[in-house]
Amino acid sequence: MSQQPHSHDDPGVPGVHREAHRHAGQPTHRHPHHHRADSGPAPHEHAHPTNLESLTYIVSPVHALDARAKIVGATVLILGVVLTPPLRLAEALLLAALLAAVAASARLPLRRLVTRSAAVLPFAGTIALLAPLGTDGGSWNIGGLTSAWTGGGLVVTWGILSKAWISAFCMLLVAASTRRSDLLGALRRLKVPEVFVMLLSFITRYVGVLGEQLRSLRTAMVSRAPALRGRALLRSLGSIAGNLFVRSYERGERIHAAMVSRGYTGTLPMASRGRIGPADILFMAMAALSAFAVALY
Amino acid sequence: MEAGTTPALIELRGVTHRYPDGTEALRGIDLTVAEGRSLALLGPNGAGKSTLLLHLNGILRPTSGSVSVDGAEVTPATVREVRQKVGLVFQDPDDQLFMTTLYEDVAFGPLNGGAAPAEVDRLVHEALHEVGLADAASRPGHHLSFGQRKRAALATVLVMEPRVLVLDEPTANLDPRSRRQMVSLLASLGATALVATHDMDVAWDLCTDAAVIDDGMIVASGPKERILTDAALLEAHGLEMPWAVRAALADPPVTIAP
Repeated sequence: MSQQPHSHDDPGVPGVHREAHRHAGQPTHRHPHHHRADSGPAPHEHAHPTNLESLTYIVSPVHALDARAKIVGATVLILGVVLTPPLRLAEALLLAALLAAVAASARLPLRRLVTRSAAVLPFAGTIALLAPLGTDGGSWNIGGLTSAWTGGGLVVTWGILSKAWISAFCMLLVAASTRRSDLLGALRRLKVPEVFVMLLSFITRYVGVLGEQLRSLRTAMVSRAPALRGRALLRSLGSIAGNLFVRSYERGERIHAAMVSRGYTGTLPMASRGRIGPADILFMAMAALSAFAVALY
Repeated sequence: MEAGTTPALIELRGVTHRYPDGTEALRGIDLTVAEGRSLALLGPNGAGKSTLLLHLNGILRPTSGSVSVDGAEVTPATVREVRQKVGLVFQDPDDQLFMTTLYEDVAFGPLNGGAAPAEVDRLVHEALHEVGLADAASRPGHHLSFGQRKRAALATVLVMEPRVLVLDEPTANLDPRSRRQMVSLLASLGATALVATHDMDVAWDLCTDAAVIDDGMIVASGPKERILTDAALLEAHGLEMPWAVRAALADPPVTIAP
């Protein structure tokens, strides 16, 4: 049966609503409300869908920086590393030390970040293996043993792999120290096209769901066939991959149906906030200086 | 259905739907949801309930027959209004909570409708209050428990102030406490509704009318007192009597025949 409308009358307490409204089948009570304006670090007890997302809730000076500053700083540094000749050993060590220091001040687990960013190496590696075949300059031909792999070729390989790893590490630093909502809002305000932000929003939202489904499918597989090896294992994993693809596709259709049911016609509505402060400017400046140092040295 | 003393808010006439591969999901559906009444749509799995629901706000078009909402037929020209009037809540809340925070999810509908930010703010807060999630507005939807997510999904539709609510399995997979909360929440809304459900007790508690669908056709429809007390009808279509009805009978039937 429907509730009687009632009003709270407590003008002294901030955040308490004063207008009459219905409650969902519960007795009248006063409760503090959450408004968009008041947010701050608070202890929370929800599960995180992915491990990376749990890292973004750490409290540290790097986490407190404005997301736009982090994105711009990382981008400038990446460009500095990528658009310049391959790093010499001293430069590489200094840059590694700098990045490790940032990771430490962000209280992030360095080893996990390093191994995660190394995931980009197989992709860079395929190019890195082929690129030397097109270079010349400098020969380390030890009596004819290394003819195809001249010094120039090895430098190119090192260049591609090191730049890929460093770029991935910088991006991962930003991703691990910025909450999803702040990251997406910052991208929007940096005028990244809405299509890309929307894409990133949905990917980050549903990667956790995909991960859970993968975990339960793997558990089911391992429960029924604990000693699976070799080709049989690969075949099962292939079935799991196909299954996840179909489920994800169908979920995509359902999400679209839900969006359309709420009036979606092609563009997402939005809004966000934040402020660039002196710490943020300093961060961007230091990233730019490091990039210049790498470029000019 | 009883002869229309109240105006029909949703009317399906001779609706058939054939999938691209040829299978007939709906084979001549005639159904009416009158204003102020709530209809329980009951049926075994695979009967066509979900397909039917998707016709109600124009996501699927009938192969033949017509779907009318509030007197106007659902066509590409009228579909925008229809989607505001018919609030469709899907079964999996994860499909409906896709924005970054709960506030944004609930604001999605009004913002798409072109409301001003201040108005959106007011509507969102009212909707979150109605479902009891006002203090979770700045949290991401997927940080809520399953029962809370179901209520959040309901809020994303209530905020658009629909004339009729269409719910797909609102109590499925809920633990007993969440189920009770959901049922009392739905009862407190007092809205015109169409509820597709397996849960015979929810159908009995919440709805005024019932319709049984099997194999793409409506096999019976009418007031719940007539439909939900007919044991033979229910068991013939893979259903059973609600506990409230069984408790009232002197000699209730024991189980569903295999």
